Amino acid sequence: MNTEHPNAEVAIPSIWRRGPVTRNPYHFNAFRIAGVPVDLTERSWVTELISQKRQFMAASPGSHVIEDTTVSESDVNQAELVLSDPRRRFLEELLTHSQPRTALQPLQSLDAMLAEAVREPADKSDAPSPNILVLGRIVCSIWLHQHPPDTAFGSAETCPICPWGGRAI
Amino acid sequence: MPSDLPLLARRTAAALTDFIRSEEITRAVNCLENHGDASGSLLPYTHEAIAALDNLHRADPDDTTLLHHLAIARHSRAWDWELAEDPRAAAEWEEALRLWRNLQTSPTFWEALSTRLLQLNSKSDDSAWLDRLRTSLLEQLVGIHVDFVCHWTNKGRNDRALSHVAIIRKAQIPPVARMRLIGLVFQFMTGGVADAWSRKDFPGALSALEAFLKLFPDYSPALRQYFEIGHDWMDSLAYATEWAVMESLAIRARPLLDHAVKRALENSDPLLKPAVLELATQVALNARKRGDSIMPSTIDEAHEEPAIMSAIKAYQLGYEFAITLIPLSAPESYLRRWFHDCAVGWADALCSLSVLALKVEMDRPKALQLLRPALPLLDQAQEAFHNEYVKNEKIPEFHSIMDLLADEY
Repeated sequence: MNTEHPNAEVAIPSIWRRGPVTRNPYHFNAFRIAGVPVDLTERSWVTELISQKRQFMAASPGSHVIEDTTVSESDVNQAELVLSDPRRRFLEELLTHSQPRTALQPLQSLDAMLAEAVREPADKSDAPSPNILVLGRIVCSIWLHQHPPDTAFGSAETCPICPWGGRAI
Repeated sequence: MPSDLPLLARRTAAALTDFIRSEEITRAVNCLENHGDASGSLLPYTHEAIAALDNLHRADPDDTTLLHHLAIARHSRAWDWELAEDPRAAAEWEEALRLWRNLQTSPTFWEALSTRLLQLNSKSDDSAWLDRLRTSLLEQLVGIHVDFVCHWTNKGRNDRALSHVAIIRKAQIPPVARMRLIGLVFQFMTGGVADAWSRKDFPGALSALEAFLKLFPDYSPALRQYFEIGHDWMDSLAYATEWAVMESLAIRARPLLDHAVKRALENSDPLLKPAVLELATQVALNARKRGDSIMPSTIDEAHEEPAIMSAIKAYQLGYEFAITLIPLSAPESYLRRWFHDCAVGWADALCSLSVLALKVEMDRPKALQLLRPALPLLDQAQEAFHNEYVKNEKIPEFHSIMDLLADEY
């Protein structure tokens, strides 16, 4: 019978001390072992990519190498377990660089602000000319369009659509 | 919504600054691209990326995204340098720990982590778990150095182990956590001590403890065990026939005496004080017996210089152990008085003997040689006990003879 109190504190496993010290955990993180991008959270895609990695390793044994060490199938199995557990995956992300994303939010806010200013009647003498506002919006739209949608399949899918149509940002 | 130009301009400038900065971070992180990996995973570090991230960090030390990138990169590089035995590793560890510590204390970072954890695990409330992670983060990071201490001591590389000991000592973690981590090293390095002790393999047991105490000389449980085993060993020896073993044990224990007394006075371990007292008393007592047994009683015997020197050596050793017990014993205790009497008595005997040799034989250089170690011993004994007991009246006489001889030779 399990006598452990439901709220009993269980020690949080150290992500830095799960293997021998001769193995730098930053190189051997679950994302790199499993071949899964760190920003990919959709479970079915994670499973699919890991299965592709297994097929690749089966087709060409010894081909998956990290820092001169061949990754074994059991390493991949272990990585899959880590990535399928939300807390362990979260801890793993502490060891891993997130994919850089350009901060589009300031430009999006600016663009929305300019759009509203264009619609407002110019009732003040120091109000900006509509031409400047439109020019600003054009600059914003050019910069925003230079940054394609994020390749992650998680929450980034909810990025807003540009008001002038076209692609998601 | 602002319709005046200056406000609009300010907001535009702020938005563009944020945008440009994030572009710079993106460019820096892009230096981590792993071209051989189709999954798009990034390398933990490249020297180029670290240089770029360092520059950006200097411009904005509070940007937690940047801090996290940099903490990962520098910690990973420290690890690789450590394994390559690169001398730059120690400084790199320190810097990486500093970065992680900044993250640990940054509310912004933990708010972002909380949001991220909710994205990954929306079905349960993990806030308490996240709090525990935050609390234990630095201890977990310092724990790496426990593993490296064990790794390098296993390879007989105390020099490298010591650099990790320094990190553990300096780390800004609660004292309880530090003791817990040192306890892990203790368990690792002295795991076989209890077994060796039960087999009466005293030298083996003490060697393991000595190796640990070289790294952590103030760790009370190790000191206590050392003195307990030493006492047990000493108890099994006879001063008449096994003095050499006793002497070597006392000489081994001597460098640890000060640490042990200091820790015993701090009450870090209630059993440490009796352990120190027992071994030191045994050494003092046996040294006195040994000295008395070989000290020449006539001037003819005094010609045997090795015997005299051996006696002096034994007395000095006993004296050193006796004198360390002063702070551990009560001012008027029997032990304190006993040590005082011993110390003064030994020194007195030596001085008398050397004066006798001087008077009878007129072999002045030899007398000087005998007197030289005895007189400071006598002085020390008086001083150590703050002259609280009767002064030895012969001291001035000994000093005048010493001065006379020193002038002559």
